[in-house]
Amino acid sequence: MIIYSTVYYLEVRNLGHFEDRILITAVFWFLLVFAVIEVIKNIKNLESDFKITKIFSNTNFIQELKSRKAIVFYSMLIYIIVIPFLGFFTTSFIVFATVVYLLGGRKIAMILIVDLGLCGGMYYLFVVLLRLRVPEGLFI
Amino acid sequence: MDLIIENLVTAFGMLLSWQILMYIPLGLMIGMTLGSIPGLSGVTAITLMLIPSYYMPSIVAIVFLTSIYTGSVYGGGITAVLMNVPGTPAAIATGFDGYPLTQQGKHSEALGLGLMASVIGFFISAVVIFILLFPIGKLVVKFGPPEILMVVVLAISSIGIVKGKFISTVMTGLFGIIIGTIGASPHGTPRGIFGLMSLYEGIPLIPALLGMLAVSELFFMVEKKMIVEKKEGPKQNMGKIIKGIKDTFKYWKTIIKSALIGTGIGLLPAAGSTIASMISYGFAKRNSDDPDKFGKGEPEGVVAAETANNASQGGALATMMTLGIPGSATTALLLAAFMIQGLTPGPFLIRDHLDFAYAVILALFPISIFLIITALVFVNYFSRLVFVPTFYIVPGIMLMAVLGSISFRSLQIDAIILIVFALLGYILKKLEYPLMGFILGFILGSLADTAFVRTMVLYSGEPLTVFKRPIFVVLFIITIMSFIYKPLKEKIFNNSN
Repeated sequence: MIIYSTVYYLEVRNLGHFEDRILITAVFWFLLVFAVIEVIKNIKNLESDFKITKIFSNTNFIQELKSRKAIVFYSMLIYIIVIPFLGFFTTSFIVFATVVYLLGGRKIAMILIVDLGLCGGMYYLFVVLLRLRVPEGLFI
Repeated sequence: MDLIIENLVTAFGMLLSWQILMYIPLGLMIGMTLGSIPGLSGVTAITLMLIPSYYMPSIVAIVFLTSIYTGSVYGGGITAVLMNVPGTPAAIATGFDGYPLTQQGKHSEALGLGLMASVIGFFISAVVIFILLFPIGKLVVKFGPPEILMVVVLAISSIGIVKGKFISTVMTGLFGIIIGTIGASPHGTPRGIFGLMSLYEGIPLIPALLGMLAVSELFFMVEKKMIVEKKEGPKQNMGKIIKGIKDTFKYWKTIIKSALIGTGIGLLPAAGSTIASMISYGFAKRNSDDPDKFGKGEPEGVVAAETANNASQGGALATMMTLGIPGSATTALLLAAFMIQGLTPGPFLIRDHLDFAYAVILALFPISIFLIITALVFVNYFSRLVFVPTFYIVPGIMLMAVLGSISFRSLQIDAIILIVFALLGYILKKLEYPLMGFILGFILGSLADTAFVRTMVLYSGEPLTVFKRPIFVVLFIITIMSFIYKPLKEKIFNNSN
């Protein structure tokens, strides 16, 4: 929060109009004051690690990278990268089946039926009913 | 008076549409479906439906999303009663007596009690806010830029008090304001976009909210293989549900008290249905002839909790529409939906679109009627949704979230925004920083920016003359009080110890 706000504040500081930078300047300094209070409070409470270890509590970093939530995160990244090449619905069909399998689903027929139902439902709602433009690639 | 009648007639006309009749039950079903799955709730349901609602006429969209909200609050109670697994935090108090009733074999009666209490609570709150809308509206139309700015600050600070984490909430709120100002400045200069011109109009609400509220929750949900381990759930009996519905009226005094408590708490900025149901439950217990029965299957406990959590929705809607302050993440999303539809909740909505505000309130009446029908027909199915494995739910929601984010502007960057906000939401939740503060700051950031600049311009010569505005002074004092309340309370508490 503080790093981004500082970068933003430094960028805004150079803007010509006073009105363009006044709120961000004020909010930045207030945020800084509250951050200092929060840090002091955490030190007082002997949370010298500033809560950051809570993100990876009860596990280590390597395990975290292999965890189920990491599977979701990686698959979402790959999904977004592949959509422009294969098209939204083709990618969605492949990604859904793969993620379900990776997370522990083993009934292939059931996975495919749910996958078809979900992708078909989304196609009907967004493309047929709402007439939205959904990214297309080699396929739909 | 003529103004009210004129607007009421227009509002009534707005609701006379087949789309309204179609989308109310659909919204209720979506809300009940996701509301009955712990970890998803109405927040996810509304976030996912923001995109489809964008393509509906404004009133249909808001009524549809309000129906989802209502359905989710009731849906959360179904699994609380049957399995002691509250679908939403607002249903925790429902489970206190609902689950013991299930253990006694009275689950159908408990569902009937919960349903009718929800409907009556919702109905009473609709009547109360219907009466209060115009007087509150008359007051808020006097708000100028200084008052609007103060309302935003007050909203963020009051969330801090309610959530009990004042500093972290204000910090996230301020950070939300900073993120909310990314894009064109009041003079049109790009700010904080770091060369990405697709962010010139600001960070789009839908991908950001989808990431922060829906996708971030998936990282928690996926850790479990099942939400609830499969077991044979109790079968519902329609006759006994109807009996439960009839029995509700035995507790009419509790219903009226709980509905008023719920509406009152809903009206407070930043309070919400969880607090409303807890306070109402405690109040009913304290005033009972036999308080020891509570927690052991007392029907009055279910009635008190369900009436209040549904009644709070009406109050929260009124505050959101008149002041532009959401009382919870769900109402924050409704506020976003208003903005997506080109309407700005707050004084301007009341001044320029009073008919629209009345139409939203009038719609609460058909919603409550449809709630009975939908719940009676589908109650058996909703209670089984907790048995769906997370390996289907998580990728399913992930797909819908990505589609929702990229279909808004057809830009790849929106999917990246989705992921960035999902990570931010996950980290904030893990560090126990309230998301609500951030969301409020983010949604209201640009409004605060405009109000701040206008106030600066108006009072640039003599800044202290702003204190000649009585409403500003009142809001200013309340805001200052909200800042010193917690440290003062702790000091007094420590001294007394």
